[in-house]
Amino acid sequence: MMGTSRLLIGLVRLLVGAYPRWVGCGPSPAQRIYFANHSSHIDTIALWSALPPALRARTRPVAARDYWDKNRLRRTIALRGLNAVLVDRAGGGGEVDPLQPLREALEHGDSLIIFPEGTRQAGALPGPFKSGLYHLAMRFPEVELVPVYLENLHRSMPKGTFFPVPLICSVRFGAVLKRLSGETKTAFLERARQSVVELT
Amino acid sequence: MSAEHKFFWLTGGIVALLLLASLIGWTLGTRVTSDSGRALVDNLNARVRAWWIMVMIFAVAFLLGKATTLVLFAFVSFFALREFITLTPTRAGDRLALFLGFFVLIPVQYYSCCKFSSDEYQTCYTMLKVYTFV
Repeated sequence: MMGTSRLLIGLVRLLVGAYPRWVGCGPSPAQRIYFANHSSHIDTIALWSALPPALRARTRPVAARDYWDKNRLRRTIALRGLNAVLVDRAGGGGEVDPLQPLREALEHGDSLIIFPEGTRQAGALPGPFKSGLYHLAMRFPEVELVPVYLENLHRSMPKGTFFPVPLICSVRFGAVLKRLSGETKTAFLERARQSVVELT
Repeated sequence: MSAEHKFFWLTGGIVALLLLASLIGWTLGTRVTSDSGRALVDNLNARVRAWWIMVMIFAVAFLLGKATTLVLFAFVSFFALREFITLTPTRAGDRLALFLGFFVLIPVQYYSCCKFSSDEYQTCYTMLKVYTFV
């Protein structure tokens, strides 16, 4: 795992820098869910390499199985490089809850990186959030929710393109999102999205 | 004055200036009392240290020879161009040209700098830049 991770982190730093900016909170070993805007394939590795090595070892990115389990290279990057949690995005079957692997990782004490939009967005601002973040937030009330904004990556390697352009990306970590009692799912998701937008 | 002479004067001058800067930083460090003054002096000293490190990296590259120096400058070009393109509003259609600029132009330019005489290099260099960014 070490070799693949180092290589990925080195490549991403050379391409986009991925410099961490702890705006609203500091790095902490507390269990956390980092949620960020999603605009390129570099996002996951950029956010992951912006974390200090000790936290990175306990933080697992969440990735879509339909994309990352497709061939050997992608599988190696996702599983050996990033120690990712793979989820079924379509969720068509209805038999198995797609959030189950995430709950297992959280119960195990790991932190997660999730992209609540569920898919890559073309612009600088995130689209509407899917409900997964809400369900996890309610199920694990003690886990800190940290909004993250990834700058410039939609310019570096937007959806539908196959090569990256080197651009400097800063990874901004915002203040821990508070839970409000009695808040509806829609209101919570909009507030979470707004906390990412505020970091732009 | 020969090129070697000039080089030694230049290096000596830079080292002398840095020594002076470090000395000033150290003296100020012993005199400040206020918190804001302390922060200011720490900032100054951090900058002076950064200059020492940069000068040391260049000195080591020069001592290791032409190839190392060119590789170092190629990386400096890469990072400088990255910085510049970040601040430039780019369009989606510019991506291919930018990609070639970073990953083809820079290596080719430094390779030709290494291989060709300076006249040939001049021609090659101008041609590359103009064609890529047109």
